[in-house]
Amino acid sequence: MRGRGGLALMLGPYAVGLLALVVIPAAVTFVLAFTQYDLIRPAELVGVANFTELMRDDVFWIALRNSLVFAAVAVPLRVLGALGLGLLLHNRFRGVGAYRTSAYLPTVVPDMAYALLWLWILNPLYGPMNLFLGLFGDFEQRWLTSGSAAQAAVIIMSLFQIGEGFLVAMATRQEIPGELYELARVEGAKPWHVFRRVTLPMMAPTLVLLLFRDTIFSFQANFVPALVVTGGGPPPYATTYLPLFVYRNAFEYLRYGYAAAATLTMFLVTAVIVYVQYRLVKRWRHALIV
Amino acid sequence: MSGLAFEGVHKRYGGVVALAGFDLVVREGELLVLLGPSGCGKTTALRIAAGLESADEGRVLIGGNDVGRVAPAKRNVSMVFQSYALFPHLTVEENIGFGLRARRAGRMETARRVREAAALVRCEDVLDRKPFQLSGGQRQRVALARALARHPDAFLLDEPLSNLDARLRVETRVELESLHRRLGATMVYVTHDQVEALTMGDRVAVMRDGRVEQVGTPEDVYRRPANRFVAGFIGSPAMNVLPVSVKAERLHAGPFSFSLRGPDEANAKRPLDLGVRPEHLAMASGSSGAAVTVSLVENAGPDAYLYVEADEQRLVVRVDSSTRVKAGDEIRLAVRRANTHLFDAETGESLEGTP
Repeated sequence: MRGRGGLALMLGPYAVGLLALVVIPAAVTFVLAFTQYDLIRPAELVGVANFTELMRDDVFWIALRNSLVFAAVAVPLRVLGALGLGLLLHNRFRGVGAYRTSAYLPTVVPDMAYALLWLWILNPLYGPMNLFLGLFGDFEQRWLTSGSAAQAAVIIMSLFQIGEGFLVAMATRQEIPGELYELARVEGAKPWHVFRRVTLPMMAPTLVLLLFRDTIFSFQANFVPALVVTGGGPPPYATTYLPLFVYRNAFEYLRYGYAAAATLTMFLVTAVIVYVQYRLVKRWRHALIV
Repeated sequence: MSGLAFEGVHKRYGGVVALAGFDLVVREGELLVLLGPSGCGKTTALRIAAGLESADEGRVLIGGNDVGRVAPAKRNVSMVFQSYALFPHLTVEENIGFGLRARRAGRMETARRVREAAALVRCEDVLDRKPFQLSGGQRQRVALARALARHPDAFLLDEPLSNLDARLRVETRVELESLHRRLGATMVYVTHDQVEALTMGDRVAVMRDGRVEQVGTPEDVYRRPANRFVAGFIGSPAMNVLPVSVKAERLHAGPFSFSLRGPDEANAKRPLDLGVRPEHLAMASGSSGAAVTVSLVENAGPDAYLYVEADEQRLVVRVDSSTRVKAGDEIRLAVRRANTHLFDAETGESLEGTP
């Protein structure tokens, strides 16, 4: 286990997994996007026909819009939630372990179980969500049958699975030396000033990273809830997001080439958005931090 | 500017007692050094003065007012931390102006005071740099400038030089002393380094186990230590302490003996220790003095330390390093009674009487 041999041996399993599970499927997807393929007949090269069809496909545009809206609302809320929990729970106090565990727990529940749980929570007749809202008056929602309520439900579901972001935010906050806060107290800085001038700028690099990561994640995250809880509906396609659109085309309509083209488009959209975020952060960094 | 006082302050963390009846008065405009071994409570005292910790019992007065319930920000004190606590994302200028901005001092006023403070510690030329671009000494100056910029009533300095290398420490020490003289500011300076304490302090408070053992000028604590602890803590190498026996109207301590005179006569009834500093032992010629054997010679630049054995006692002698002595030599040592200190062997209290 020395030198290059040992290194190769240790990297081996990861490299094999990466190749088999990421590189090859990605390459296949890339090629498939330019073909027509239905599992039965051999794949047939069709050039950019899949992409031109996508541009004319109303459902694709709805799915893209839904995904963008989801990302635009869920990502900031998720990052803020992770930051808020991190700041609340970074100190040691009685029972903090239990709070931290409950903040992280929804993230480790398997997606399918989590979705089934929400199916119950959101049930209009006996679900706890409406029972709870009913306490405050006539706020009950037809969660899964009204379009906007269903979209809200998918966003709400995503807001509890922020355990990883929370852990990262908490660890980052714990890394800031306590003396900086003591100095700020002696110097007479008010809590908002301390947050704005000390905590936020010192956590900014991590928060930016969380933002990028969550944006990428958000284009894929809502697949299970959309499939299990809302079924892509209510009609017409209120919670059909890009991953569900891809899934339906591939595994229900057996249009693998078309689904691959949609996947590629989704990848490009994600890349463009993260790039734009990166440019904005770079330009605004000084204003944000100081 | 105003003074600072601790009255019977107690502080414990769980089972650990940090301060146990801590009394101290820091006079207006003086530089008082809190000196003591690690864990003696000196930093705790400073943090209580700053308001970062609260006392379990007792009072802290700043300018005569009890500040027990006053928030750190309202005490108008500045603190310099051992780690400097500079904000890594802010420039030197923003670091120095942090407190002024937090207190909304106004743009022009802040800029003016930042320049003034930077000029005092000579760091005007690095104002637009970030802390990571500064040397240790420059960081230290910036931390000091930040404390100065707010024109506080008192400065609390927690081992501010301990992260500097030896040469820079001496330079900065001298600068800090001259700064103190120019400003006439009240300063409380925590250190475990006795050289810093003796050279900088107007007065030195020697602490042990959460209490003040002695407060006095550097000369007081060196020449007239209140007890065996202070005597042993101040001075390097530490004072030699020898058990005393009284025989035939004479005090015998190790190889030395003195005739019993004056107040010593009254003291001779209790068990005694005799302290003598290594620098007060002199090599004698001819037949005067006591014969001892050198067991080890340590060369420390200008001085040499001789470790000698006599009557089953080990003593350290400080001599000029040009003295030609080697291990195994027999030499004669003499000391004047005026240069020795008598302590009560049980309580450790000095029996030399207050001057």
